[in-house]
Amino acid sequence: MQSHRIQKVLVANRGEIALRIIRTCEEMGIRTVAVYSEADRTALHVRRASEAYEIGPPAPLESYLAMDKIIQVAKAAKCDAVHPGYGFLSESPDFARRVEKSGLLFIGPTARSIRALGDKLRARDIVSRAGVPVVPGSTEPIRDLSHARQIAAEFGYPVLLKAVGGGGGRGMRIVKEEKELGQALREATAETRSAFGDPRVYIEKYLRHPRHIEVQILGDSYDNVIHLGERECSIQRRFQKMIEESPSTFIDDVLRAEIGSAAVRAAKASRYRSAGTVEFLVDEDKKYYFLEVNTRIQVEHPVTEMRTGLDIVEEQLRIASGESIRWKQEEISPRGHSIECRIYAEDADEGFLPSVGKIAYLRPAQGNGIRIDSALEMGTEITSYYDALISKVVSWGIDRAQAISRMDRALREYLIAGIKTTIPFCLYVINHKAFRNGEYDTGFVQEFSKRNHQTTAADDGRLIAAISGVLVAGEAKEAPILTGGSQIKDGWSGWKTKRIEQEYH
Amino acid sequence: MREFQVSVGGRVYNVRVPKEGDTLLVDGRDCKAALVRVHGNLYSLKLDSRSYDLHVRPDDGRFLVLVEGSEYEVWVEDKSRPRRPASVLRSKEHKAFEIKSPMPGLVSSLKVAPGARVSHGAPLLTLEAMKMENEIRSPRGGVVSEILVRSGQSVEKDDVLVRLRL
Repeated sequence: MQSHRIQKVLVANRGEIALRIIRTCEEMGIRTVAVYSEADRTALHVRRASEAYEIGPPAPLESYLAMDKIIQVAKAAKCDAVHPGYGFLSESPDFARRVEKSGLLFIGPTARSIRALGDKLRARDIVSRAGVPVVPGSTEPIRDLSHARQIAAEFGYPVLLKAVGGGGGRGMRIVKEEKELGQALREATAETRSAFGDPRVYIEKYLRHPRHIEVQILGDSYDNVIHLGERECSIQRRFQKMIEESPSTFIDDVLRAEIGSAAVRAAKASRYRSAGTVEFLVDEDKKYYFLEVNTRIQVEHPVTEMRTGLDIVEEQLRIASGESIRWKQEEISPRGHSIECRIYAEDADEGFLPSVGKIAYLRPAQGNGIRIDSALEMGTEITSYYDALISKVVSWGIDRAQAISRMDRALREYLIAGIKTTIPFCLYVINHKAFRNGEYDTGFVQEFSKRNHQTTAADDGRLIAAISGVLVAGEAKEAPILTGGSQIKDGWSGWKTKRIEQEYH
Repeated sequence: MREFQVSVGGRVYNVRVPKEGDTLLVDGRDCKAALVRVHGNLYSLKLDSRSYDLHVRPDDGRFLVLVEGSEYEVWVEDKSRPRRPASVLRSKEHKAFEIKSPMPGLVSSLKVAPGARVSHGAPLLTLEAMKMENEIRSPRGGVVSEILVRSGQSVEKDDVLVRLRL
């Protein structure tokens, strides 16, 4: 493959990740092209790109998922590469193939490895041939209920039903005993079909109290692969990550090295190119099992950047342009500790119910050891069309205690008004004894949810502050916001988010 | 002295505010409170010597107050002003109780039919928004008099979904 300096990149995404990619391109002297839906005309990624083109209505299918329109813009604007970010088209082998067929570089893995690794059964097969342990489970899709019964009995309950065609918790069901199997299989099949257009499910042994540990890898077009250390992502809800950190408190250096080299083997076996993540579950006995490969840049990649000093998007761009990896494995020496808190537009006290509205006030956290990746400013409209992730707060410290203190301080400094956010939830977690001691597993948020309205049981001072604030605001002459006698509104609606997926216990 | 009844997160507080000075009584407890507007709806409150940043948005008869990352819904009733006749309120209330959509989304399924008697917290319908299925529950008991949406229908924020007869 010949080296070709990239001049102009189309960013096929929105929100914080689009902005994050644009930033690196700008630093590298690469021009950028944003595409956007009608809902995003004033979004920051549109305003910060060198050029921007509207591609359709707000619904993702008609804009951010519209391959034809995006490729057409890329060609018309004379781009030489496309960066898909995460979500949307990032793990679509068809998109990768069509981008490359149009004579553009796809900043990511080859369509071939996206396809192979996107099929969870094929991925398990590929990595287990490379000597990487996989979670015990079926090697073929479930044909029918009796087949499912036979396989579940072989591995022993509880088992997990999983989609062959995709991840993210869609189509996943925990089955504790045989009598639940029939209904779970029907539900998982239906959900999988609607989420991925592929009804196939398979069975894995369900691990109790697992830790979710993943390894960031980089591969180039010459079969070189290195890893950039691990991230622990066990603070999840509905199989979606909330807080990530590196290094993991759960594994020692021996296991760390072992998992790192297993990740490299897995990547080499699939001839992996670009940045990717090999995910593992680690059980109570510290046995590790391959879970899946995420063939994209991940939300939590800044944690690794904070510790290694590398810019993973820059590495992706260099690899896509045909360069070989610039470092040897032994030159990668992560330093200190880093934590990421994902700030979602959600109300944690109401079962993580999405919250929409306009950002009425914004004061970002600043200061030593803090990085914020977001595309927010005052006036930004949070709509229900797109993902509820609105900001990522990343801290770095010389050790874990300092990374936590800085995160705690930053979350208290960060002011986002106008919508509900998961800032209070993140504060709750990072101040929780179990988190401070590093003793948590993927069931942590579930435990949190059981403590109903934990965050509203705030200390008296806070409540009194709220009350007094409103009252005194009414008294303040320059700002009479309280006119008195305001009528109690009749019509709150009590509502809860239904869990669409089962959760780890 | 003005007297307010303030409801925060389901708890009701009695607050007395004297005409002079800046000492409030919250449920009989003294609080020295001074408030200065910083910018727009952002206020700096000093409660005794401690500072709080407050973002206060008046919204449809209530206030949305952001304090240290948490947003509280605050309802205030001024006890020292004459209330409007109860009958007026009540007759308005009794007309129909409307349950509005809290956000734009797609009605994915209906859980009740007209005529159904529902109790507080009963699921009424599910709304798909932000890649999640959200269950809309009844905020109070009553009889479903009307369902204004169909399964598969898109709704906007504040669209009336269901009417209840109380």
